[in-house]
Amino acid sequence: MALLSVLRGKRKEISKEDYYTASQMQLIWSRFKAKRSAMIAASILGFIVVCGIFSSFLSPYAPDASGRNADYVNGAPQIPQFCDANGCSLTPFIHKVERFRSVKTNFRWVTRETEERNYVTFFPKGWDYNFLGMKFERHLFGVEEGYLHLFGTDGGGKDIFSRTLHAIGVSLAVGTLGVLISFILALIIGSTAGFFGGFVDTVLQALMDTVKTVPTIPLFMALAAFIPQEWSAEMRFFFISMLLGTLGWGTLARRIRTHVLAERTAEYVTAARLCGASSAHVIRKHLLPSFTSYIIVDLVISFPYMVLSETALSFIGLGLKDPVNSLGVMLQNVTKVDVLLNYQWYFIPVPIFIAIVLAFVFVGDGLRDAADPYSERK
Amino acid sequence: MTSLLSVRDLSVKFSTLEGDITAVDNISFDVAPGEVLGLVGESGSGKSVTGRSLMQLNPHYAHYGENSSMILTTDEEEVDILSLRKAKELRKVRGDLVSMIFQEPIASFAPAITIGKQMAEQLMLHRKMSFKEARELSVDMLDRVGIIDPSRRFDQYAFEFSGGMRQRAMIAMALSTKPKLLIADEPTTALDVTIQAQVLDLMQELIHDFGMGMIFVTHDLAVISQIADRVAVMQNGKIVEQGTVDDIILHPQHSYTQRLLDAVPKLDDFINQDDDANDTVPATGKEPTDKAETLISVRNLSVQFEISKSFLGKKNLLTAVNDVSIDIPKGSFFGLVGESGSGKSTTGRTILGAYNMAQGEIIYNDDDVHYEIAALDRHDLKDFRKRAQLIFQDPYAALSPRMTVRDIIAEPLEVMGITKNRKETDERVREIAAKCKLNLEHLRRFPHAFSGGQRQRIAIARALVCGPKFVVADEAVAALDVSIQAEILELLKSLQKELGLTFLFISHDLAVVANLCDHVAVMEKGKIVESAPTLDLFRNPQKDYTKSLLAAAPTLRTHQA
Repeated sequence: MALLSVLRGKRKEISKEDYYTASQMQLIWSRFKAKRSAMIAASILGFIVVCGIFSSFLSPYAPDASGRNADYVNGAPQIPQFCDANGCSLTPFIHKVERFRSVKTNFRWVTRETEERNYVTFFPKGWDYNFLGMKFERHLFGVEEGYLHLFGTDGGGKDIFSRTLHAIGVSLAVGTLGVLISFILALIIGSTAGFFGGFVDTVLQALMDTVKTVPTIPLFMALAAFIPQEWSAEMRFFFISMLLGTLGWGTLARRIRTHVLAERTAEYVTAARLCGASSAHVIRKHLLPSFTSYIIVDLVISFPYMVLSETALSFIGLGLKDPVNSLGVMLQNVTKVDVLLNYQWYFIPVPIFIAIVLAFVFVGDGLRDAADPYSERK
Repeated sequence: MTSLLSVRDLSVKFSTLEGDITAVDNISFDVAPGEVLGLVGESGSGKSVTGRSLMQLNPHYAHYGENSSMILTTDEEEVDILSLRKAKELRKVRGDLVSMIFQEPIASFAPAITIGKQMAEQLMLHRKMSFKEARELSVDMLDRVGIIDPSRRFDQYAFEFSGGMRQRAMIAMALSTKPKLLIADEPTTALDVTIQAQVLDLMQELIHDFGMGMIFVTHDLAVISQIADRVAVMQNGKIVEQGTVDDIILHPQHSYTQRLLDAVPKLDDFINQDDDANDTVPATGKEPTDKAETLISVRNLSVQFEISKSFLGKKNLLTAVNDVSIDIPKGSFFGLVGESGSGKSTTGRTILGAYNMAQGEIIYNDDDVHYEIAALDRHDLKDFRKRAQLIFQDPYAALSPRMTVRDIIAEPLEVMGITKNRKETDERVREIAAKCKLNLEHLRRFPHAFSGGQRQRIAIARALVCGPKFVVADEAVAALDVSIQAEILELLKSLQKELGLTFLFISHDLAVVANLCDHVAVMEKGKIVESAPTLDLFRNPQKDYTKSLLAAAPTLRTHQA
């Protein structure tokens, strides 16, 4: 409550004139800021997106076979510590691991921790990666010798931390591409239907309904059968994005159609028409600005569905496949009983995935409330 | 007499994102049984919030002041309305002791339940009646409020009732539980004048018969002067003056009340004015218009709308305008009056070429041009658009909320390509804004910063910026408070004189038309009933319909009742 009143007090300092001359976007932003759940979600989302973008810099090892640690397969997460039985140090460290076999282990290879310290280093040189067309080899952190696995490793010895970061990037990219494709389709089809109405509207609406009624799972299965095995990971990636995009525009198109339909008959549009304004002028100056805010909201809200669809597809094995990292692939890896019993750290990507979806939902929610700053206060 | 309702120090605050807003500020008043208290004020004065507080109908973010109290005293009990918290306790007040009638009768009934069921429901709930008993009583009440064939009407839906009948049914419903207090929130504002007069008579009669108290919330002083016993005038959440209706209407003490009363256009004064003043037509000071040239000439105009199309393509047509002929003289205010659905707006917009006409012709005849509206080609239409413009009724809907005032006013100039560059556009915008008495500093602002009256000035500036000769004002002051209405009418008059404009002034308000227009045409059901110079029409109406309109128009009493 106190925080809220402080917030209000601060808001009152904004002069009346600023409020009167504030554009729609400024009003939306000030209303969005006032909503705490949305602001928290937005900062979490921002953090995750940054992690996804800079995944190569943040991950100490390559997320594919080239970065595997053959000596630490299915290894538990290693948490850097400052103290152990031999005292404390200012630099965090982990203990080194070694593989050995003996009579005790029934002559099987077993990994065990040793007493030796392995200090964490910052900005070490590591595997090469491309970012914005340039080659880099620095990473945020590493260890002096050998490997550090914050989230443990999987059955191939790959670092789950690095894989998760890359998976976020890939999943968000699939989502962005999918949303972009469906958005462009929806914008063109929805606004055409709404603006011209009549016969055009009837036909396009029928098309929207047709697309929306296509049962997705059987379609995906059929398409999965068509995808040639020799397709590279990138090809599959684009294919999935295109698929999600071309199937996902129906709902958004209908919303845009409704906005256009409602605004088209607004009196200020009639006023412009009575001045002799052309259709192009009406669309550009009145219709588009009137629903940009709603479109942003719709895009943000439809984003998690894209990520979810990608995840679901990959999860049932129809989308991206194992060497590629995506949240769906990561989730697919946790389906084994073995994982549930022995390697619970495989689950670490799951809460991150949930956090992404929830963050999108909350941000979308906050935006929706803020989107129409001219409506009555709630 | 002991009072039925006693409100003391009522304050209502709303918490919003932009801070607290005090809607009602420390008001106190009493209502005696059988008494009508008129709560009058302009929009935003807190009168509706006061009415709603009595049933705790305000939204959840409303807070009541600490010292506020609202005591309802009946023969049996004494209820402190503000102390009620639970829904069950509140039901005692809502619908039982207190009933409410709202402004929009169509919005007050559930569309998918019959009127009868809705009426019976509350009787069954509050009076523990069986459906049969409730039905009997409801049918009686419907009969009482003058609904013909009530037992058949009982089983009909709200959409089968006309606006006036709906409001009657609403009154029947509100009174059927025999509440002690009736709150009527602008109950006649959405109705046509003739219906309004009937509904007001009915309410007055029922109040006296049932011996209940009533709070009548309205912005309309003329209505108040006819129905209320006592009046409380509200401004910015405060009651500035209260007293008997004669005191307030005839001898107002507070300057705000005086200003409000002065702003009300008075039909009686106009009709009874001295014949000396009659020589010059009041509005524009122009000579009587028989010598003047005709700017717009409408001949046998009919406009039809397609309501529905049957499966085989047979069109179902509604004739909105039927064989209308009018001549609008140059440089005058031509009034077009009628009730809702009479086709006056359609006529106005068709003249501007917004709708296609089914029959007839419209001629625009200026010094240099002669246009037939239906047969304009692209180039001439563009030119005609510069000459004829429209001012809308609702200043909130007519301005794009996403454009600055400067951009809104400049839009016609840019669209029509009248000005060459930004500098010239800015000059024109500033010039017209100054003429419309807008603060030039405010051109950077967005419309949400302005009140209704200011917005209407912006809308007028937009209509006039391209230098039109002819302007259709479609109910241009209907959505405004009386004091603002008077200002806008003054502005229109001065602009007319200064720029030599010709106005087609469409309105339902006879008093406004009487005080503004030189010539008036009365429309009913798509046809012109009567058309005459204003004074003639108001003094010697020829047709029955005009007479009934004049009789029904609420007028401010200027003498002791």
